[in-house]
Amino acid sequence: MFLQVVVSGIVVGCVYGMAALGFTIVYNATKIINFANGEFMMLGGVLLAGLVAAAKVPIPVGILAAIAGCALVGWVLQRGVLDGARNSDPLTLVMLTIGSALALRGAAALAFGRDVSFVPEFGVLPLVLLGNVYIPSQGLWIIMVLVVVSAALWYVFSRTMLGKAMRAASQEPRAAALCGIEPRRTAALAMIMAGSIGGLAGAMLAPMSAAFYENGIFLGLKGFAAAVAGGLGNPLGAVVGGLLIGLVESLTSGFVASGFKDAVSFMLLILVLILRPQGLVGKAVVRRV
Amino acid sequence: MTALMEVDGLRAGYGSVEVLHGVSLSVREGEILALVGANGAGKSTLLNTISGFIRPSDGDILCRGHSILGRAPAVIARAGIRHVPEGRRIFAELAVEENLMLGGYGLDRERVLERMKWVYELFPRLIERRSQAAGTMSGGEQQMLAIGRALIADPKLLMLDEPSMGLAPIVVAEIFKLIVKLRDAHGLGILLVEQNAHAALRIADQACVLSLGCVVKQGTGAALLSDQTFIEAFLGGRSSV
Ligand SMILES: Nc1ncnc2c1ncn2[C@@H]1O[C@H](COP(=O)(O)OP(=O)(O)O)[C@@H](O)[C@H]1O
Ligand SMILES: [Mg+2]
Repeated sequence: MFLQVVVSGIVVGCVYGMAALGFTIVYNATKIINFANGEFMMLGGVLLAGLVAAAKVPIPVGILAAIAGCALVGWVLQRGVLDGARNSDPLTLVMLTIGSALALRGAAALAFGRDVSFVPEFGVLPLVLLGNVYIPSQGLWIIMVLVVVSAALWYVFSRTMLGKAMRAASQEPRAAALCGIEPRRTAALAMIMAGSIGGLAGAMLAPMSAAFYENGIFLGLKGFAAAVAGGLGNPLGAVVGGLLIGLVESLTSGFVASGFKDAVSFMLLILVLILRPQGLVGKAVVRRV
Repeated sequence: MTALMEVDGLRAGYGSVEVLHGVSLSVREGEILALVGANGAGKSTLLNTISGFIRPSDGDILCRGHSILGRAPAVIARAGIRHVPEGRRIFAELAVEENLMLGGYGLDRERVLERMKWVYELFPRLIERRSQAAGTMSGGEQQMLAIGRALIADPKLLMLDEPSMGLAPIVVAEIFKLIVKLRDAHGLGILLVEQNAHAALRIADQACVLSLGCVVKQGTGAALLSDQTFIEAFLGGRSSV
């Protein structure tokens, strides 16, 4: 029983980790918290459901289309909304992401309806049974995808010039421009990356929890909490934060009561922020002026 | 010989407020042009306009005879005009070496690594700190890093905005010595903006005095230094460094 609860906590934690990665990417490139990030996941789910259930598109094609669709939405959000206000203060930009989240939710309700829709499991991977603990096939998919995506992002941000240029542009946009980096381009690229990963995550999640136009709210909040707990800006931190919140939630609902799980996980977030303001994985930045 | 960079009748400002009222100046290869003037005279505004952050309302900016008006800052940087901004603006959360590498963003990697060796020779102190977060260094080291980051790209023109700001006199002397070396040994054109006018004029070939957005005096560094009325009006007669 305990191990089974842990396994489902890990799977849920991986979903939160995927949600957190989008926050991490956009924060790394612009220092903005993109509260529309949960909507990318919601859109990934409803797009896949719409394509697979209604239009009878094969699942792999549906996943690719969900990724592409969300990447496009990310690009439009950056170029069409945030770029127009790029000289405003960060709070205005964050408000714009919240407004965009509401708009995306409304658009999804109009385009895909207000019903919960279902997507079949991806299959291929087996259901694994270890003793009396079982790992669902869709859970294995989610774990694998998270490992690959987070490792790739860690590599991009800590090993490639492009990733470092994105971080530089978020810290000192003008100085970055003086180095030949184009901050608007890195910002757009980050939003495209966050959109694709959100779309992928939403598509992975759809067979487990159904697609619904209101899913973005809680995915956004959980992803944000996970990103902050792990240390904003660090892809591995996002994963650790996601796993932590997923495990705590799962243990709380398994052994206390499921009604407490959100309260307990957010109390944990507050505790982490008090004890380690830089996040679980983050390094404290010492700065001299 | 055409100038490395030439500013001609430049008018620019913020919104409807004009700060530069028709500024003209030029920098040649292997020459230091000192731009001095009181706080708020428009020195930083001029550099930011040359770098492409501010669109001028009139006038022209030429880089080796070709207008760079309307180009994006990143494009101007790649054209060989490197601006070390006021306040240094290093990437505090990135390592020293990452800061240097980014100075050569988009350039050939082999070449950047070669240039990095050279920058480390100019600033041996940066080697020991290569993997340290740049924000943890002292002000003087950060200034050296900011200059090093600009030099990585092998610029033709280096624009320095108050490199001595907030630094101890001994560090300022070190940085000024380096500026002279960059001119003499490497033939760079340098546009040096300074509050510390005495020190700047002493190493400058040419000098301009900017006051309220106009060039009010122009000449060789030595001529301006020996101009008693100028010294009294703009430098308060005091000498430093
Ligand atoms: N971002 C800005 N917006 C509006 N006015 C500005 C801005 N930056 C500078 N100014 C104004 O432009 C004038 C020149 O400033 P600046 O170029 O920074 O002078 P300096 O570098 O010579 O000290 C000042 O009056 C200053 O108040
Ligand atoms: Mg200034």
